[in-house]
Amino acid sequence: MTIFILEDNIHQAKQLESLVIEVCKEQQIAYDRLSVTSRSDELLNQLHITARIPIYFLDIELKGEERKGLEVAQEIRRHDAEGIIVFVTTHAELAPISYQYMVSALTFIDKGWPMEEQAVMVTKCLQHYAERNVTVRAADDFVVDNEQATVRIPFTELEFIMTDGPHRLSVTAGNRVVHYYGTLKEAEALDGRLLRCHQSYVVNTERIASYESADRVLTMKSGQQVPVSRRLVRKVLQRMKGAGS
Amino acid sequence: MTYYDLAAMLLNGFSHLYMYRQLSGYDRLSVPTMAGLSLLFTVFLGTIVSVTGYPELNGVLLLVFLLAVGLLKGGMPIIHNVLFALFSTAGMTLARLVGLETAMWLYMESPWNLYIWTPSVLHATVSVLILLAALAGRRQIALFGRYAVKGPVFIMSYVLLVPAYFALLLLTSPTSLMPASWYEQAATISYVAAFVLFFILMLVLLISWQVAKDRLADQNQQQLDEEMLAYINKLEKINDEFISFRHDYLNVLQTLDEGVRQKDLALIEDVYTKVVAPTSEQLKLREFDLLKLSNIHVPEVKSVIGVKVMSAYRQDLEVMIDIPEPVETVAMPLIDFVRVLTVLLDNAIEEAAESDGKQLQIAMFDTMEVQYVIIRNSCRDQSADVQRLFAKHVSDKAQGRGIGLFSVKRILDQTTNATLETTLADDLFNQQLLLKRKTNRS
Repeated sequence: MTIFILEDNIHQAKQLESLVIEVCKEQQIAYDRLSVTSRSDELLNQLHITARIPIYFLDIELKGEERKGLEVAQEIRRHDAEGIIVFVTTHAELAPISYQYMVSALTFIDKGWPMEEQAVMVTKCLQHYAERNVTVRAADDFVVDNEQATVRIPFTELEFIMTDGPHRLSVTAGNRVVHYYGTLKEAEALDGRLLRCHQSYVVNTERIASYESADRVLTMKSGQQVPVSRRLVRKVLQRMKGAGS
Repeated sequence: MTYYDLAAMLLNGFSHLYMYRQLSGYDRLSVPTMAGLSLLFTVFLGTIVSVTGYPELNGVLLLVFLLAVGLLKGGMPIIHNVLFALFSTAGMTLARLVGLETAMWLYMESPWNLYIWTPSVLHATVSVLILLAALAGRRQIALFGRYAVKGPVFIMSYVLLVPAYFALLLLTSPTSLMPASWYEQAATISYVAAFVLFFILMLVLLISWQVAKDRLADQNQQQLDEEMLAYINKLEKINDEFISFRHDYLNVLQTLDEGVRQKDLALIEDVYTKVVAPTSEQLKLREFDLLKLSNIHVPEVKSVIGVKVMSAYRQDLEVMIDIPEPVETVAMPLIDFVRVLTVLLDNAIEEAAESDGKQLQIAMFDTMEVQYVIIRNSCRDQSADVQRLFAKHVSDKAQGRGIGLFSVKRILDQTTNATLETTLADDLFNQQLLLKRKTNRS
């Protein structure tokens, strides 16, 4: 459990360091080491000695190189797929979207923000870091990864999957909809919590709120409704009862 | 024998409906639905004809049936509907007539014996062949349906199809109305006319298809050229601005130099506040953002994004472009990609312009396996139902604008490696297009 800070401006590095120490003390977040450096190679050399999930605060513009921080992050990702990467930059509102995807960065912190706001962000990041280290759980996601598509949706959000044209599926989850190439049969087989309730629908049984037998409709926790076919009513009801007891 | 005839009749019904679907672009009619519909209709027709004894009802009812399907679809001018229905009815019946005659003639020439079931088998064979031909040429038929409704081909098709239709009606109506001698004459003429009309119709079809293809290509090219030109103009303007800025800058340096040499702090301060400080505004000139498009090495994509970004500027949007690395190729057919991109950008700009945030963000980049295109915009209504947006005529925009996202979906439905993720978070409407690259997986 190491905290890394990569920052070439000594003043800002000190500031961030003291902020991190302060937050950790206040939130009672434990860490083995706090490594502050201005040189990327120094940081990269320490990667192998970290145990569990480290957190990295990386400055994006290093020594005038505009994208040095991203290169470092990519190098880190090559060795450490789990570590939490936070970019520190002078213009967070201009922070490229692509960074988040290319190295799955957690978030950005703007050096120009007022100190209180920066403190709030740092606290959030460190809390996330502490949480990840306590509950080392495998991510509980609905995952499709094949030649045609890569889809990843947490089961806590996934509501239902429906067919959407030949060989096309649409997944509804929280505030998003994902359209991808696949079949309901494959999707249903991915996890035991998924249940076929209709010719063209598969529901996440954990997100069912209620069932109205008059309309043969399932109401999900989000309020959306999913039809149940006559043929599959019995199976659905059995599953709901089974989950209740 | 009756089985062959029955199969032929069912196949004919299906072919007519299929042809009509392709022509009118009624994609939502699935194959099972069509099979069911045509089965029902054929049975219905068979009953009616055998009960009443009027075989000409075949042609009339088929036309009416197809027209009704067209009305069900809606959103199509009635004259187009009539043309498509005529085309499917008359065109295919003509094709069948010619096919049957040819098959019969070929069979007579062959050394095989003629049995009582031979015509039935031939009938079924011809029906299968026609259906196969329609299936093989489905894209061409659809293209014809889309572009032949404009221009001279439209009138010509009408002129050919109406007489062809009546000739066919005449051929199939031995029972009604006319005296027998007159009928015989008319039938012979109709028969010859049907043959001639069929070949002319085929010719028209081929020519108009070619023309439609060319016109479509021209249109695309022209649009690309225009967009490219607009983009180049903008770049030239940026270049001019840059040159003039550099010129100003050198002047400023000289003035400062003067002040420094004379150790005149007042002069330096004056120059700074009046001349240097304002240039920081100029440096933030948003048009410089367009230069970021230089990382896109696909000219069509570059010009589309360029044009859309400029239009966003005109509507006072704050645009953020993030293309960190060179983009060499697009992981799906380019024409389709450009269409999808155009719709997504148009929607984003329109919505952002209406919103308070006035934000537009565009990102395009590759990771190892996936190409990402991300378009975000600020929006008015947090609670817009993301699921609903893709329905055909639903749009949160003004009337008649709902077609955009639906056509995006239709294109992406054909693109197996495409995933579209639509989210709404923190007042930002977020469209993420993920294109999976072909990789050599073990």
